[in-house]
Order: sequence, then C-alpha cells, then structure tokens
Amino acid sequence: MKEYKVFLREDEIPKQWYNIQADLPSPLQPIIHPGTGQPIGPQDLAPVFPMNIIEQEVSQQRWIDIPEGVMEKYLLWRPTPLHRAYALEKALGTPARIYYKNEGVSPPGSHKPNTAVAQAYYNKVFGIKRMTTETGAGQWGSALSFACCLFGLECKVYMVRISYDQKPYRRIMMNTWGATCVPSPSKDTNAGRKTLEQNPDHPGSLGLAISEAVEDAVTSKDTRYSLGSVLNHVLMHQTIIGLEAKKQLEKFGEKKVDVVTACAGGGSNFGGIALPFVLDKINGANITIVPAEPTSCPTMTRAPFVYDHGDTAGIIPWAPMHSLGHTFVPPPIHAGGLRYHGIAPILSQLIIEGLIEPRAYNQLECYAAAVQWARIEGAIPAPETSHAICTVIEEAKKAKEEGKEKVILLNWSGHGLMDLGGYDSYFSGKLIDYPLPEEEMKKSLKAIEGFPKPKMMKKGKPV
Amino acid sequence: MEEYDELIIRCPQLGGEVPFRYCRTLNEDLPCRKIIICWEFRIEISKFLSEHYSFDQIQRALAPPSKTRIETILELIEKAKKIKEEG
Repeated sequence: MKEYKVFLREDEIPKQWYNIQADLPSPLQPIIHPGTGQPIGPQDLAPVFPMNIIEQEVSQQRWIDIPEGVMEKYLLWRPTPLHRAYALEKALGTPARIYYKNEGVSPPGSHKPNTAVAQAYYNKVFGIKRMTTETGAGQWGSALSFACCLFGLECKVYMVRISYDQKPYRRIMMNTWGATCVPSPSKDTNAGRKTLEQNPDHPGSLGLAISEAVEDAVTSKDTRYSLGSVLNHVLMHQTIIGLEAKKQLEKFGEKKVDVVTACAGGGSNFGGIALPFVLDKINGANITIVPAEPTSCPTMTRAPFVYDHGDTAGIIPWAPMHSLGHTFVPPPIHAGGLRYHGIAPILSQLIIEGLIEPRAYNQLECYAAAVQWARIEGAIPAPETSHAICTVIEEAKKAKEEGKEKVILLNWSGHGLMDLGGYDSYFSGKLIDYPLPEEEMKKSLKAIEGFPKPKMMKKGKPV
Repeated sequence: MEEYDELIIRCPQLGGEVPFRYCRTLNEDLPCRKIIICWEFRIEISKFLSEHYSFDQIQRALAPPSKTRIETILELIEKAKKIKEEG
C-alpha cells in the first residue's frame, strides 16, 4: 500500500531551530536607525521587543534550543504531516515525486503560529504581560491572538477598519482566543485619534495600523510589539517546518531533494522550509530553491538592493532588504499575505549569493493552479500559497520533458477557507493581471533616492 | 464624484475586496497613491482625477510620503511617552 503522508512521532520533532546567520557566506549588513543614520544597538529595539528576542535577532549561534514551554504548545498541532501528491503527479503525467508540508493544520490555519507561539513565550518569560500587533485581513492577528491565549498574555490587534467591517470571521477568531481586536484608526492611540478627528469615517490603512500598534507598545506598561515576518528571529522560528520535512522525506525513502519552493511575501514561510536546505546547498548539495512571488509586486525578481523602512510609517529602524521603497503600494492582487513591500534581509542576501532563485507568477495563473490543486488534491490553498504551486507545476512539467525523476518539496503554507472571497472574484472574472511596468517601478524607486546604500557582499567580498 | 464608488477591486494591502470609494478616500480624503495603477484598466481614472481634484491635490495624493510625515509620527510617539511620564 502506498504511503500518502508521513507523520513524525512527537519525540522525533526537532529540538532546535536553525539559525542561518551562522552559515551565511557574507554577514548581514547592519540595520541603520532612521533618526541617527547610525547602526542600531539593542537599546534602540528595546521599546518594541523584549531583550531575549533581540538577542535571537542578532545571534550567530547555528542551533538554538526550542524551549520546553514552546515545544509543549507546538505539540498541539506539530509535527505537521508531509504528504505525497500522487494525484497531482498523475494528472501532470510527471515522473517527479511531489511532496508538500501541510502547515494548514495549525489552529489558525497557517504557518504563522510557529513564530507567534515562540514570540509570545519569550515575551512571557521576559515579564511582558501584553502584546500588540497590526493586521490587514487578519491572518497574522489571529495567529498572535492564539499564541497569546496559550500563554495568558493580553493581546491587542489593530485591524484595518475596512477589513474589520467587511471580514468578521478572522476578527471573531481573535475574540474567541481572548484578544482585543479594534478597528484602526482607533481612539486608543494618538495616531488613531488624530486621524479620526480629521475624518471620523476613515476606513484605515495598514500603515496606520502599524503606527497604532507600535505606539501602543511603546507607551503602555509591560507591553511589546510583534512582527510576523521579515526579521531574522521570525524566519528562524519557522525553520521547524524544513527540519521536520527533512526527517519525513527520509521516512519516505528520499535521499535527495531537487527542488524546494514556497511563496515569499515577507519571507517567513519560505525561509521556514528552505533555510535548512540552503545549509545543504552551502555544503555542496545541488538543490534549486525557489521563492515565488506575484508579478505585480516584484520585491525579489526586479527590485534592487537598498536600505528601506521595515514599515510604511517609518517607525521601525531601517533594514537592508530587496525593496520597492517604503512608499510602494503594490497593484491589486489576490494574495494579501504577499503584500509586504520588502523581503527579509536574510533572503535578500541569499539572492545575492545565488543560493535561492526567485520566480514571479501572475495572479490568474496562480488562481488556475490553486483551483487545479483543490480539484485534484482536495484542500483549498491560501491564495498566496498558490504562487508556489505554480513553481511545483512548472518544475513537474520540466521533469516530464527531461524524463527525470525529480523530488519536489512544497511548503503548503495555509488553507484558503478564510479567503474564499478571492476565489469568488476569480470565478466571476473580476480579477485582472498587472505586471508592474518599468516606468511605474522607476517612479516608485524615486521615493528612496538619497537613502544610504548598503555594501553588497557575495561570499564575504564586496560586489 | 461617487459614480464609481460601488465598483469592487482586490486590495493587496488588506488582502480583501474594497470599493472604489476606499481607494479615492484612503489618503486623508485624497486618493490612494496607487489609484492609477489599480484602476486604469477598469475606468478612465486619469480623467476622473483631473475632473475632481486640483493639480496640487493630485500631486500630493500620488507623491510618496515625505520624511516629515515619518518624523511627525515619531514625534507623536515621543509626545505620548512624555504624557505617560507626566502621568
């Protein structure tokens, strides 16, 4: 009988996260403070993050123990299953063997609690009693609400008002886990009040929600802010995905992986599955590692490497990242999770080093792939996950043309059951494709003219 | 002004559908900076802007936010800290 999925026993779950900072051929560039123009120190981040997380952010230690307190919570849904996509292989007529790591089985339905739980734990240990964050449609907000609930922390989520009004289900999830979710702009912060004074019916924006969450964290007692992507420690917490997958592939009898792929917005789910395999590649393995992104928001496939703000409001110190400029607002696409305007600095460095090879797909192609997946493999993927499904299909067809038995690994980062409106728009023909024109790209990049440029390093040498 | 308000588009920032009304009021009652790129295939957006906004308003709406705005937000945070300290 064929094995369709492999589970690890709970005592087989990896006990450490992998920190790729220890193995990068070139070290990451320092983060520059926007006020001083100087590299930041731990105290600059202390108003928004607890010191134990800041230590992880800058750590060069290769393996970091997963605390028992985090592991206990991980075991609520981890280890997640690794599936073999036999039906898709058959439908494509490919000799490739396709595997997918199902992160949609977590309580909030995505990979995001892998770091939300860790961040909540470290805040709790540090003595923090309350956490804040922002959310658009609610995926990250619900993950942090879940995590704070597990550790008895208060959680305040600033949800962009128009989504708050239109998308009640994620908000109800947050409430169910005990979080306070308020529409942004709110009356709870200076930034929100000022906006409401000018326009009581303001529908909100993600930049304003970030401003409120950070202001709340900085000005409230025993409170810190949480970010669900981009930062080094966030990617490290997610490596549990790839480390589990390695063990599960061995149980499937696989000795080698040819392609690893995931979608990449801020980079956390891609980093989660890919970084343990990047280590293999650094050590000589021949693996094609593909972060997939939308053609309409090309942070990796077209943008240059510059310093940029990590948030649209410009509060968090600058970090070097592949960027379209902090003022960039992507054109309309379906995948809310891929909206971040800058990829994680670690992934930027891996692109420069040639260790990962980003690809871009248009939204109609992605929805077609998502629907094909749902009709063959059953589960409905999150819209952003569909970008990586495009890579899988592309590579599986290539294997067929070449007659090669490739092994393809996908991070199936979350289900799409909270985003059926996007599918509805696709079926009703409301979606359009919009690759970013060169002229528009140039206009956007004008926003960052005059910003300091980081040194580009490859294998430890300036390029 | 309200002629397109009920048209729906997918906003990547929010991860959901929004009406045109949102796009034209998002930026302190001025249009979102990306309103042209989002809507040019659906409506005559340039004509709409020129009919309903002054040149200065269009420039202000479509221009990237200045550092001054960022500094203003940072100042608001500092003010809040002082209010708390003075408590």
